[in-house]
Amino acid sequence: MHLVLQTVAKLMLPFLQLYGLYLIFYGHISPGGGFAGGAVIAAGFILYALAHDAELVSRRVADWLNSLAGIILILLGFVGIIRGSAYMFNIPEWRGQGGQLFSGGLIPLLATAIGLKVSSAVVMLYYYLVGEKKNV
Amino acid sequence: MKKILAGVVFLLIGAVFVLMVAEMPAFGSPCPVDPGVSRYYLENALADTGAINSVSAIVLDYRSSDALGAVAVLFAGLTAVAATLIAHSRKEGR
Repeated sequence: MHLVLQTVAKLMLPFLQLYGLYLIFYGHISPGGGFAGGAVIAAGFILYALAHDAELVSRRVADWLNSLAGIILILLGFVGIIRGSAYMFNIPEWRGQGGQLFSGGLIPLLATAIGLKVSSAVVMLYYYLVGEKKNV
Repeated sequence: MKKILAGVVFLLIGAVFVLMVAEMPAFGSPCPVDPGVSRYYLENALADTGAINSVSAIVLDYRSSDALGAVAVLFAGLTAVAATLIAHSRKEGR
């Protein structure tokens, strides 16, 4: 691969990751959310993998993170049942002041789990498809 | 024969979609269904959930089971891709 492409990909990676994390953690205050932020984080990893022809996150780690995020998401839904209301119900005591980072109850936690899930799933999809090209 | 069948099925599905679009209300006309739910979301999202972004409030609080379903669909798609590609590479002896 070309040196310019490799250098630009390496320089872009932290900014893409930071922007993805911002989209996830500020999803309840500004436009964004788990799906969009996860896609941006996965785009950073895919850009690095395309430029360097190397896997920054190994396939095993991405697989584990994918399963872990799914389990966390399902378990967060049971918080509502434990507290005596419906599945996936919010925590009213954690509602907070609207506009602050720590507000919205379970919403930021759910967005974090969804972002982890989406980013690892998209990276896994990329690995599978590139591995298919290498096999043929 | 298979191509003709596929073409007929394709045309039927396309006709259904065109009929669906023809049934839609004109652009700018008032909503034909009761807008009570969406108006409730817009007015009470901040008081109910504490999130300023009402899209996040709807997706992750009022309709959080839908978000779980979307994640499940993503997982199913990833599983389908993995099953197809791994089986394909195993059949070729690698």
